Amino acid sequence: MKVWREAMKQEIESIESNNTWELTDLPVGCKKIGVKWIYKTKLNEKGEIEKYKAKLVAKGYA
Amino acid sequence: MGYHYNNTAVAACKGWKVHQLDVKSAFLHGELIEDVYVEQPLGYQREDTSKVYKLKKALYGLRQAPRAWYSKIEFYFAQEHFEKCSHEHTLFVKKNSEGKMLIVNLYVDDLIYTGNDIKMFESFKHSMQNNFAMTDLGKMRYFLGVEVKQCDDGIFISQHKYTSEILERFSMEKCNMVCNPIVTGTKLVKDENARAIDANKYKQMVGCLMYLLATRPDLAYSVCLVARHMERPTKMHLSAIKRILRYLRGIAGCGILYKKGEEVRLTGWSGSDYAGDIDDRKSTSGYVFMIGDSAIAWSSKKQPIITLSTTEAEYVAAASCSCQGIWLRRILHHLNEEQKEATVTPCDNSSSIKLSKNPVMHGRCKHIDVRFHFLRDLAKDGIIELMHCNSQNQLADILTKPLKLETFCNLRTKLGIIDSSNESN
Repeated sequence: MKVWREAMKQEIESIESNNTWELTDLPVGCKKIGVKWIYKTKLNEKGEIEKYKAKLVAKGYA
Repeated sequence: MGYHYNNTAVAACKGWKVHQLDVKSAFLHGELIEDVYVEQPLGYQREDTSKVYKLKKALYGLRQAPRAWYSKIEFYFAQEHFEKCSHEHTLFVKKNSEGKMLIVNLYVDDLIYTGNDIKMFESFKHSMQNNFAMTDLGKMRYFLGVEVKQCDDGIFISQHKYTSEILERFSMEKCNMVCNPIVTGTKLVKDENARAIDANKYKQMVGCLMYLLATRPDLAYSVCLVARHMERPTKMHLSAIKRILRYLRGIAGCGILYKKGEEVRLTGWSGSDYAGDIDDRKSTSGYVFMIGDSAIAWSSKKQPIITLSTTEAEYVAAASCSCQGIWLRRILHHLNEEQKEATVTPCDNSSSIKLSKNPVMHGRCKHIDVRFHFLRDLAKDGIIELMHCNSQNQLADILTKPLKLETFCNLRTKLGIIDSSNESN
């Protein structure tokens, strides 16, 4: 689906522009945390789809 | 269960308008202290897939993300010379020498602000927009599921839409209406012999109704009563909860109006029933705090201990009421609305009042726990003053007893609850 790809691109861009992370090697003795995508459609008052939203979340195991 | 609307009430009394801002992707602003590494998201890997991302800022889903965000926004407010209220960590106030002030209330990424100076509004909004990505929602209309109407005569809050949604969810949108949520004299008991009904659905109903208490003190007692029997509900309990829904159908649009031009003066009402719960013989205490003619904070709760007399039950209720009272007074102080005189707390039990004023040990109250005598200190220091009131005017009764229809309607009006369908706006 094209809309979702667009939404994911936007999310990645917003993360990068926000200076959230940098690419490095995993130091010895550290664990990496998994991430996953959450997809949501936002509806407007009439119940029509207003926005496709993709959110990258860390699996905090909460 | 208890709620409070201190700030809204103060804003309404002063005739200030409340505005709302929303922070976009709030948690992404939080800065991490710990080293956290995450894998590269699928589909967006760079060439070297063994590399990982080191997080400099928080991502949604991290356990520390909410705290990281709060530290960030707290730091921002400190920088902008806001004063943080030490009794309510989400309340920030900025005052200047000319007596202008700006009050900001934060709820995770939603914030509402009010004050008496448009210039301060504008500069606050701009500085927020420069620091964080913001959506300006203008005047507050909908906050945490509560609908807000700001009209010329004050601020009206209700949960009309939410109420209709509940009724629809439990297929009660076409039920017959009733005028009160609970029949006088109703006692709900555990019934081991009766057949249990679907507890899941019952719990869902209770959960939905609980949130409605945010704007509906008139339901507090009945909802708390049905909520005590979630473990093994029977037909008796189901019909009690259905009655609440039928009551809601009649007055879905009701809410509280905070009137403009009232003096910001806090009064509390405390009361209790006596051994109302037949199963364990504990009493229910209730309190409500009013500013002007509208309720700003209320609670209805079963007492933690079994009391031996009505005096003791009332005394315990008054003690818990005054704890809330002190807190509200401190917040009001922070909002420049210091309560100089003692907060008057009407109570319909005269021996409780005497007990609070007179530090004498009476034979029948020797066993009352020290923590409840906390009230005496407050009375002595002139912070809380218990006063006698007539049982008919006892506002807290609506939170502790199933009342007669006439009394119920009377007290409901006194709490500042009105039906919005009668309002022009």
